[in-house]
Amino acid sequence: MSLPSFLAKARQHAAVGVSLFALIVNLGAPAPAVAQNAPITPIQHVIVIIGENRTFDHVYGTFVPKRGQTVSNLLSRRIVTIEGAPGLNYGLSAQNSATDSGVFEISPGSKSAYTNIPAPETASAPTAASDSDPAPFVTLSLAKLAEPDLFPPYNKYLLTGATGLAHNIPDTRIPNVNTLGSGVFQLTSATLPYDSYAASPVHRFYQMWQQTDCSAATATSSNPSGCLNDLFPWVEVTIGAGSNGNPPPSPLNTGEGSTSMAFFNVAHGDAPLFRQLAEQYTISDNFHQSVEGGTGANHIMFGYADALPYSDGNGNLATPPTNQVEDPDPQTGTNNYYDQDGYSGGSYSNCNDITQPGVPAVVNYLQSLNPPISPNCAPNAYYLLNNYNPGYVGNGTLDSVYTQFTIPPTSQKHIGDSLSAAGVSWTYFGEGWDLYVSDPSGADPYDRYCAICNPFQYATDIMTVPTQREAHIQDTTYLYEDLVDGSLPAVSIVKPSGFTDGHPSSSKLDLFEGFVKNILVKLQANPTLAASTAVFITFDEGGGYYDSGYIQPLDFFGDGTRIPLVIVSPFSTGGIVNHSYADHVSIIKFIERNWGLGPITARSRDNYPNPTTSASNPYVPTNSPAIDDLFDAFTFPTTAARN
Amino acid sequence: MTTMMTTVMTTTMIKTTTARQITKTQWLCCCLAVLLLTSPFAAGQNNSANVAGKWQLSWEARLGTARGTLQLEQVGSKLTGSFDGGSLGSPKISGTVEGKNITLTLDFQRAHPFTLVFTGTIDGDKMGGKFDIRGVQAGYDSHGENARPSNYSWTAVRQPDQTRSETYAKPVRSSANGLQKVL
Repeated sequence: MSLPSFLAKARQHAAVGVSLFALIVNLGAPAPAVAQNAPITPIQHVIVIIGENRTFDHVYGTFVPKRGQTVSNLLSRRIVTIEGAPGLNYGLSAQNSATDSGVFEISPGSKSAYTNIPAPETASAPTAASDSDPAPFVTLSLAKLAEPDLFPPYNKYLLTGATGLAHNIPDTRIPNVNTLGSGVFQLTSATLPYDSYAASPVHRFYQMWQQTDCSAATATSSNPSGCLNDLFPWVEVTIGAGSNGNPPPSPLNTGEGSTSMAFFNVAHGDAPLFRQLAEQYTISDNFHQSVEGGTGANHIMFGYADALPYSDGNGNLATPPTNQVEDPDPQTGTNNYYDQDGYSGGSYSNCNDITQPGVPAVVNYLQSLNPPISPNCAPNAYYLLNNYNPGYVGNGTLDSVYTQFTIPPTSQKHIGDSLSAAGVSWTYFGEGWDLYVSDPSGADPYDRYCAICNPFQYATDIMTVPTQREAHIQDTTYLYEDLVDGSLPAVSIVKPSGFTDGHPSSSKLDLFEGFVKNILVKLQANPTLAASTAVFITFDEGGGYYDSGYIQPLDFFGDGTRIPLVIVSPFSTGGIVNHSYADHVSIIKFIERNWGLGPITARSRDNYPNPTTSASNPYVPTNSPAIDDLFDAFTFPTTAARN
Repeated sequence: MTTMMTTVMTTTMIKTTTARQITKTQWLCCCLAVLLLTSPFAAGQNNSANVAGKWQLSWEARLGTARGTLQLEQVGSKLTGSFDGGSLGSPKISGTVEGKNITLTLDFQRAHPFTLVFTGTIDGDKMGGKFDIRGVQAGYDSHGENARPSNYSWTAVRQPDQTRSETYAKPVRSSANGLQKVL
């Protein structure tokens, strides 16, 4: 163990209030009694790796499970064939245009089926490799300097995959780009290999509520939420990533087209690591992004099992500036071009107030379900629904110094508080953290650390106390040292940089595979550690890609579409497909159950029970709202405690 | 500005050298320097704007506004100086001024070196324009919290320059023996 790593480990233990004896234990010395919650299963370490922006069908749409297992995906539902061509039930993925020119609706009328979805476009995907504007890079040595966290055979992918096309035009690498039919299409082909950059679909809160097109009027016994998932391209081409309070440009071109309808063909060579892991370990085909929309709100839900409201920074609710409040009502004379929404525009909603823009469409829908679902919105709370920077930068000063689009610091309790109170060690490992600390504005072009992804960077109790910051937020370089020397915290949350997170347009799925592979290889090189570790590999959200799975409304904020979840451990082997309804908070529930922790707060989502289901449908909870704790995704020795 | 630089240089020499220690050669060098700095080749004499002095520089980076204090020195059209960017460090500064157009290069020698190139126009005590990044990237659109390079902008606002004020507050005059003295 290096000296910096030793010091970091020491701070980690000091910060959680564990005695010096516990530190000695962690360093391999004789073990005195330790006042910390012991795990109830053989899982002594959890690693959660969170990639970016892929739905379950987008990655596993043509996955064929081993004999005896079943999966719900594009192939099993016969939406596509194993070759990726339209299947007998292709129409299940058919998309529509619609009309919304009055107030915001999540299930607008005047729907009209597309004969051919609008041509997918290139958006901002990189045109050519460039060392001055990567990725991809031209020079391998420079690429490796910028991105050191890949398993070495994957480094070559830092140089490849540019589109060769201008921005915001039809992506002519896709065969028949103008006549793709009415539903999903395979993204990859001879002219668009798996190792390619491509456009990123919109993935914002109100947009995704519209895309999933949920209505009690269309509810059935097998789909009690009534979500039809049939407005994905229409939302892409009518509003895209928001107006930021501006009128629509003329002509309006969001640059996306129907990017949302693309899928990889895992049965024909795409996503090879994800296929291999699915065949060897356990995946879920019913795991969901926990919030409709994008990165920030989903990482917040992971850390807090709740959304965060705007405040005065001292724990008191406050009202955000007018131009930061969401107003998805269509601008006069437009079809669905929102009044105020965007990354430099509206991102908060007071969802307890039915008169607020956008709110009645969602709340009325939730109340119309059987049984009704509570929005779970506190009075006078303006919740952050989309990406704003966290309250603090890396050195603990306020982020509002650098940008106005920052949510004030929060004192809301998070999973780290629960773990620390129980004496359970934990660390958020963010790739590029060390560089970011000295570069809070992101001026350094090598700085691709994801600030909005770190739930604890929003929290006053972590960020304003140097020992807490240093103990609980570290660079991934320390993770790799911990994997080698066995000093891994009980709970590790791992986030790749923007180069390797798999986000379309700015990254590629093969680069995220290289990031994951690097961790798994290091873990498995330490058999003692691997024997007691579960790795949860998932994504922050579906990125706005289509998915055919059931969506269970839990509250105002979500759930959203299915996303992949792979569980790598000695107790989740065999190519199992788990069907229990789950979302990001399910991983929190697993941690809480394994280490004997209670729910984070009285209102947090980890209070929801595990699902019960009917014999005929394992996907739909009959006790909604309910989310699984994923214990049933493991096979533990019978001697292991099972509460 | 030329006057200021001449004054600073001469004053420095006099502060560090007593009259008895000044050799004939040193005296000739001093005079030559004064002549050069007051010649038409010096700043302000080539129709280029005079940007020497202290500026507050800010630019729109990936996660927000980066800021720092820029101290520029100008000889003719050429710029040198220093930049205090806090934890960002102190890059090497170079640049040029042509009329009201400015190009300013900040070479950051951090763990991974990179270079920011600012181009823009000067308008009195303000200047601004666009910048790009050489070495690696600029574009980053994954989470939407930042703009593409074509949208990257910068501004600089002139700050009170204590050094310059102090220099002007201490005029010099020729003494009886031809040496300049600080009053």
